[in-house]
Amino acid sequence: MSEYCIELNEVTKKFGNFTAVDKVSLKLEPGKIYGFVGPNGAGKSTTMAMIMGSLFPTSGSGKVFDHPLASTAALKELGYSPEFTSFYRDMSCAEYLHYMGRLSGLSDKEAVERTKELLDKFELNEHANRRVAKFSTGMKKKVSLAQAMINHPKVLLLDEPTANLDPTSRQEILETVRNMVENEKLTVMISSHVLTELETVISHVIMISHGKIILDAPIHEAQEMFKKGILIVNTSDNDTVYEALKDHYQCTVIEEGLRFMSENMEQLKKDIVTLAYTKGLILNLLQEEVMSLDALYKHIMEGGNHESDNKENA
Amino acid sequence: MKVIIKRTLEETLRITSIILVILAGVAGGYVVGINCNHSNAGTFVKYLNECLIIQHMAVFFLINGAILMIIVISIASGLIAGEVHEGTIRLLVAKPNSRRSILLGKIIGMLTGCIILMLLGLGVFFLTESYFGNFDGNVQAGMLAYFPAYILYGLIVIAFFSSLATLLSCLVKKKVMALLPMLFLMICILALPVIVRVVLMFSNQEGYPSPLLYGIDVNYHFGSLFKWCCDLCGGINGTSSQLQMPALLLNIFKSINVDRDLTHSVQSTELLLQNNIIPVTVLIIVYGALTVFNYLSSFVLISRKDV
Repeated sequence: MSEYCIELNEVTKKFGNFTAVDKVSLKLEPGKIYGFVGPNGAGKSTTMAMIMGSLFPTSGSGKVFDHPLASTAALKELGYSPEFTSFYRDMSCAEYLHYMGRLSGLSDKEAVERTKELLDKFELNEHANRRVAKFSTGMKKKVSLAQAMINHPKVLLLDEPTANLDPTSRQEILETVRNMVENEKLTVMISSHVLTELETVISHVIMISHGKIILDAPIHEAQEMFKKGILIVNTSDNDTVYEALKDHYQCTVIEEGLRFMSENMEQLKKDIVTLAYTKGLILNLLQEEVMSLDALYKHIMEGGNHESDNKENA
Repeated sequence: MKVIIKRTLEETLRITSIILVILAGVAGGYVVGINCNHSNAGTFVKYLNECLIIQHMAVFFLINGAILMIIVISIASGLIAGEVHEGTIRLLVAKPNSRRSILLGKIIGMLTGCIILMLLGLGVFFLTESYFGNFDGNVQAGMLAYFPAYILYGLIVIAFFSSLATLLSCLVKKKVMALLPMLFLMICILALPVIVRVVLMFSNQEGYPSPLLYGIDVNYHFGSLFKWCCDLCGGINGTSSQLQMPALLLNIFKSINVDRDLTHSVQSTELLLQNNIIPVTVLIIVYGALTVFNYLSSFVLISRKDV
């Protein structure tokens, strides 16, 4: 029995001459929440679709709890909410969830009970008999999440669950995901562009670009990896500090004060403290920067070009 | 699979399909009933044959023709392509069911629904023609005797059309792309060769210039299959003038000029014989094989298709 719930080994997907996913290897451990991030067309949805069996890999292989990808046994363990969920026009919300439950192998009675449970959990009771195809985008996302949960999956794949939603709905959906994970002890893989919101939920980050995995690490390790050498400083006279140190260190004016970058962090700290002492400055802030997922994303995807962005903004 | 069968059956037995079938049954029955209400046929056998030929044509072209074909095409071409186009296929295949069982469930549901609709159409048709025709018991029994043949022919139409439409549905990504070739095939069976034959008749040519054209005359193929079904229940009979209609519309009879003494007729020297250029056994084997091939190919395609 594998210790991983999902394993992909050098999975490649080509559409004609275009390689959407290029030799991707992944190992997802149980009980973690994975953030799957990357720009548009990076291969996030294609990778998820291959795990779910709606697309077949051109080469490579994968397993879900030791079952081959797309096998019935593998699909029993998975719940999936696609980026754009399409609903049957003639079905009400309750009918749709019941149908999805029956398709997932639940008996009629079990499907009815699970539908009631999920309608309640996702606060959809009032709309249970309305045509789901006519729901707002936010409510459709909720129904999509609910159907993904219908058969008590062990692994949940959520493709852009917050896309095209207003901030309130985004928060609501993420809160729902967070609660689900806590209550049901799930492994979750979430792809999203809204990185700042994602980092409050995920424990592990996987970054993909041009079909290739470029980062696969726990979120705190990834932040640690890239925060080295960044120091945020605020004194009673930032201009003096800037003028004194700008020729020795890479320095940026930011909202919080000054942002220094250096290979030699110890020396940088000593120089700032010495300068503050000799010039009689009050040192309000001396803090190593914790990199946000958004900054980390920019740092990796754009080669750290956010530095110059910050300077321009300042 | 049960849930997919049920869902597809519900989709097939939509109220619009039911209304369409009932309306076609009423219209077809009305035409037969009115035309058989008064007859100058003379004898009972001639009268019955006259009514039967009108009934055969109504069933071939309308009840088990245009209406049944449209329903089968419409449902079968959307089985997979409709779900792909609507985007619902992604979640359908994401649930723990094999793709083959999904397709099998859909096919069973569709076939069951189409058979129910065919029986409904034939039932309404018979009741309506009986009502408007004021038939006596013997005529009514004589006309009812052919309904097993119509059911058999309807099953052939359903099986072949649904198999081809299902295959196209697995190949393309939009229902309309599967629908259009099937509609063209339907027009070929019901209209195009008939028009060609009428043109040839008026240009004083006898039949097709080449027997090879019989190979692509799907109207003749289905006409022959229809006649084969009717033969199992007594055949399509009548005088030369009565058989002109199936001869022209289905090409299943061809006329030959003979000595007047042989025809025992003072009006015509034509004798209508069965047009067996392609033996019906060959047609049954070819269309049977095509049906099986279409279904098997559909299962192969669906199990490898990216959705």
